[in-house]
Amino acid sequence: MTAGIELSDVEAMLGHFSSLTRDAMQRYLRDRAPGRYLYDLVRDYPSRTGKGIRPSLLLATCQAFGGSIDQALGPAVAIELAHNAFLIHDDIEDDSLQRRGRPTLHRVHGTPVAINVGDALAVLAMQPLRDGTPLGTRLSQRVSDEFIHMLTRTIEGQAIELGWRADNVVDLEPTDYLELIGQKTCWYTTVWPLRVGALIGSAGTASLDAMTRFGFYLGAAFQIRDDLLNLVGVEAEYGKELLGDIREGKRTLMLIHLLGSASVDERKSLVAFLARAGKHPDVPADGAPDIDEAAILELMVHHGSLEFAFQFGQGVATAAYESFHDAFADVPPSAARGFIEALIPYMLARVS
Amino acid sequence: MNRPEADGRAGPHRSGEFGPFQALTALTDAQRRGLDAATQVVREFVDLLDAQPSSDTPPSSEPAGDMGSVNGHEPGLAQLRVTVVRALDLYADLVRRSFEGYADLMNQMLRSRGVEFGSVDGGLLTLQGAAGARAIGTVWMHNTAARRASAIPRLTDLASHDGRVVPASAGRFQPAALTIEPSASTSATVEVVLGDVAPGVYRGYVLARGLPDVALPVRLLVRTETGRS
Repeated sequence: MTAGIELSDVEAMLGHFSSLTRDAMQRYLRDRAPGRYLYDLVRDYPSRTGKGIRPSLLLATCQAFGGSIDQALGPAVAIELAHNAFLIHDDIEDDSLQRRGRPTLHRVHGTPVAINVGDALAVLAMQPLRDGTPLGTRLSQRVSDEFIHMLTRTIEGQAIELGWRADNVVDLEPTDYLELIGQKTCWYTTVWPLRVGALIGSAGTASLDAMTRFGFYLGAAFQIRDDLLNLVGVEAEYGKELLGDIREGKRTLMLIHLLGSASVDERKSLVAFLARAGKHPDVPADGAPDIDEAAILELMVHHGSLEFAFQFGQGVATAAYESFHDAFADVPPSAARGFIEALIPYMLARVS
Repeated sequence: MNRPEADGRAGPHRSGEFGPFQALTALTDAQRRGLDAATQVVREFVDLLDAQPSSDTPPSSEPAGDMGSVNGHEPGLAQLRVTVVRALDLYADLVRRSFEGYADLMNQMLRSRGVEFGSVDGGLLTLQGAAGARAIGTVWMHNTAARRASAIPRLTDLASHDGRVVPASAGRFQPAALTIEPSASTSATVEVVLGDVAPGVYRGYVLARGLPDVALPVRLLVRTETGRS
């Protein structure tokens, strides 16, 4: 039940939790040598203010289950640092132009330097988990195990997506898409923060499977919205270049729908475009005309792919709503619990 | 081109709408597909988590035994369980840290007397110590035979690359003789007295009378009092 919570309230709470996380993060991002080609750049992406959904979800879940912010701050910092590491490497893999409204790191400093900075952030992400004082040995160990598992699943998901693009896989169903984003997005965006927040807040007594289910639905709604914003968002708010997903040949829900709805000739053009995006040289278009990102978006609009994805996301959010009430069934009402519930409609309404 | 609105529709702008989530009662086909597909995939998602080998799975997704869950049906009891679990965690940590503190103290005391500890890495026993002091390590003997074995471990001469030798007589084992049950292992402490030994690296073996197949390579690092060997 989210009565009384407005979009601005959700964003204010995200801002509050993000601010706590950023303050705690500073001790891991101190000035040190070498600065110019490493630690100055390590601070770049974390300083570009994002939404902070991951640490916010973790901190709020911990609070909802009766734990304190202090107990969960280390893992919150860890996931935010890992997220920034992923972003740097993702931007290189996708050759993205913008991140959070500014040029990507590799575009400014070159790919070799950016890869190394991403590596540094990934290593720094481990450090907050080593300080287990607020949690005790047993919980610390479990949080670390969860962290390693989450990283593994995320990297596996990313590998599947890169493989689809490299092999120009086009015969895909919406369930394939959900399985992909379950791995590459949901684990680190929602599942892990929910599981670890509940783990810490309940001192290891909460049902984590219920958290996994809710996290999957919530993360899927998040990713579907993110994919839509990449096509029809406002670039200044979204922070990344629009149509980048099409340019990179990402297998989004809209693209999968379009591949199944397009005419024979449209599909030929589309498959040839995707082959080029996946760096397949000399792919014959079988006489079908060349097509660009804008034309593909036109096709998506024409075939109802955006509307399909929007409604598909609503169906996923309905599942999220049901699973939230299972996962938080007897967690007493609190601002933190209300915030987590309000994230469900927020995922469908956000513009950045 | 007419750019569609941020909610994915080409129609009226709806991105500003926000409010309590309305669970859908009458689903469109696409909404139903989203709900059904997500429900199907999440089932596999959780099943996969449960089926992962232990090294790749976060331990015990579900609470063990009768610990129940904080979001079970008895909030008061659940809160009590959380409190008890936290108290037990704190107590376990206290005990562990006490033991670690005691072990650190013992370690420090022995090191202050010139004793250094070795390690076995990939079948190589590494001993180290400062010239004039002692080096200590632990040797494990394994009896893979079907009958009890008796073994008397001994150290060979340890030689450096330039011909210097730490004589076998510098090594002592405690206990001096071992009895090992079938398919069992036991350990002995090896101590090398580095009385007049020059700094350097020395190599040799631990052999065992009674266990002809045992030959554990030994590397002895002898340092000067203040520097590296």
